[in-house]
Amino acid sequence: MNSNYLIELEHVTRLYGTVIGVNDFNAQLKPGAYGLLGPNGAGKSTLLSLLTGQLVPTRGTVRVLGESPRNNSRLMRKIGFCPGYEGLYATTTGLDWVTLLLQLHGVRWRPARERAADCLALVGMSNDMKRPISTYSRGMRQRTKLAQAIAHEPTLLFLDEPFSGLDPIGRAEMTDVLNDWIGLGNSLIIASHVLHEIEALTDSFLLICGGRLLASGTASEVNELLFDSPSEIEVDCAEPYRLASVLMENELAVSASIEQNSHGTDTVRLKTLHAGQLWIQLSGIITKNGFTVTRVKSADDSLQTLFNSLLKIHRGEI
Amino acid sequence: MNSMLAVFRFEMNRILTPGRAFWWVVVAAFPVVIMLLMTNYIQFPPGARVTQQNISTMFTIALYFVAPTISCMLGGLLIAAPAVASELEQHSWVYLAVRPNGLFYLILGKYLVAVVWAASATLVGVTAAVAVADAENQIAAATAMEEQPSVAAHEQQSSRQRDQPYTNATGTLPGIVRSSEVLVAMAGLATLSACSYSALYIMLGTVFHRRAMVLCVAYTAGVELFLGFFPAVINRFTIQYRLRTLLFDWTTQSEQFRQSRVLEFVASDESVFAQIMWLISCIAVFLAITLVSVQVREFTSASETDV
Repeated sequence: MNSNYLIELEHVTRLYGTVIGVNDFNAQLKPGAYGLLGPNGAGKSTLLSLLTGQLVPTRGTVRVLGESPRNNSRLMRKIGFCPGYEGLYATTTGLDWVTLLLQLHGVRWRPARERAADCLALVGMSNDMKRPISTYSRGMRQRTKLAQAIAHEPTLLFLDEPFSGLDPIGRAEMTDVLNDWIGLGNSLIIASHVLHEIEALTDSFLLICGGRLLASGTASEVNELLFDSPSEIEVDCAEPYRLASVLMENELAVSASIEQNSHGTDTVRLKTLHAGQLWIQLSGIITKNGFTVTRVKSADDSLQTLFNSLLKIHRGEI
Repeated sequence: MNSMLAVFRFEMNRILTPGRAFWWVVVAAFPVVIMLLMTNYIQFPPGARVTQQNISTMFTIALYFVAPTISCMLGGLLIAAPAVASELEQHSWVYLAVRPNGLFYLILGKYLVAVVWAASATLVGVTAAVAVADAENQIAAATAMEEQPSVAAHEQQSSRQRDQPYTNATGTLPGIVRSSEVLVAMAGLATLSACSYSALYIMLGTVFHRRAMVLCVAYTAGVELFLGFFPAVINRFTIQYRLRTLLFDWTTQSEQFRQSRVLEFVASDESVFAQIMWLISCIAVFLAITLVSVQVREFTSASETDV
């Protein structure tokens, strides 16, 4: 039963009827902090449900800390889970709720209450913990959810969109709490569709889309993977037609469209199959041809485009 | 045990709301209101000869039907039936599911709450209802007003009145005689009924959690209240049959009722011990099915994930 891995997923597939939640997922993660990154509907929450034993894989095996998580009370003592949805009791106070969940770990009422109060204070809820949850803001509920997840001092924490509903100050505070948590040698798996939320905690990513693991590694490794993938680039230029013509002659762009801006300049939107090559050669072409360029940016820097490209790579379409 | 009591205490605090308290009062008041209506508004046809023991038997059966039966059913339906469905609907299920044996303690804690809620409301209701329908007191009060007899004479008169034909008169109808015997019997029946029906409803509500309340009401009407009173072997498989047998064993009925063939069809001739063991077995089976169900089944749906 002993394993050096935090998580082992072998050919894990989970179907909801005919809908695929997770598709032939393979991963072996060593202890540490990982970001589970993917757009909405990617299968992040399904994966977390599999890892916390809420769901059984249709095919494949799931092991967490070397054990199967399904109905495993010993493992449940070692993990904490903060789901993406709320599910808090409206009429109960945050303190009573966290106390109950601690008591379910076998802690007696008084120490459970003291520990619950400490954890709620840690997430910035010391002034509001004795109010009914129905009076909490969304941010307060997120903090309370985090408190219940860490109250029993687990070694592995699963967080599903924990920053949802938090204001910038709240995000910074929660990031600090989680960084401290990681600093204590604990492990963390955080699911989000916002890259910079995860970057503040870890540079190890698992990128998933359509229930598949598309890529894993550090941010620079993922960028390297995307270096020569299809992309769109916008260039604000005084001579848009000539620029588009030159780039297409050099086979750096496969299509171009030109838009007139209200402030006088034109924008060339270029579609390329080899973004890396275009970025390398673009400055030379501009200088050589004497173009006046006021702005260059990636037109599709959204995460969804990144995932679409990765999905195409995964399917062998590129 | 600590975890189960934690759930029990937490859930008891949660149900102490004005809305739930109102329903508790309604359930407790139900048998009292029925007894008051019976005492004040039932009238026999002019000249009908009915013994006081017959009236007492009628009141006892009616009290059994409204208190350990209907009141306990209502209590179980309100608390036990939605035990799992309510957690799933408000998405609070997962917080308990990721605790060591969290669902096990959740079910047992909620079951205890349902039993305490239903049994307490029924016991309060039964006590008040028996007080309302206490024929001994009514007879004693009436006699004292008429002739102020000695205690011995009162006992003799009460005994005579029990056996003599009772001709209806205007005014309050004498209700239950041997009220202390009825009260003890009803308390026992209420406790067994609350335990049995709460276990039944928590099982049905867990196995069929998407339509928990509808199914529990349909089962109650179709099986417990229809088949349970159906004069055939099928009624032996209902909780109602066992409780009814205990009622007839623990209370005294009129001679006329005893001699009728009704008991052959609606009650068992097996011992009290057998009936209680049968009910305890039912409770154990219902709870076991519930606990196995929450361990084996997946209650997390695709709608709770982002797929």
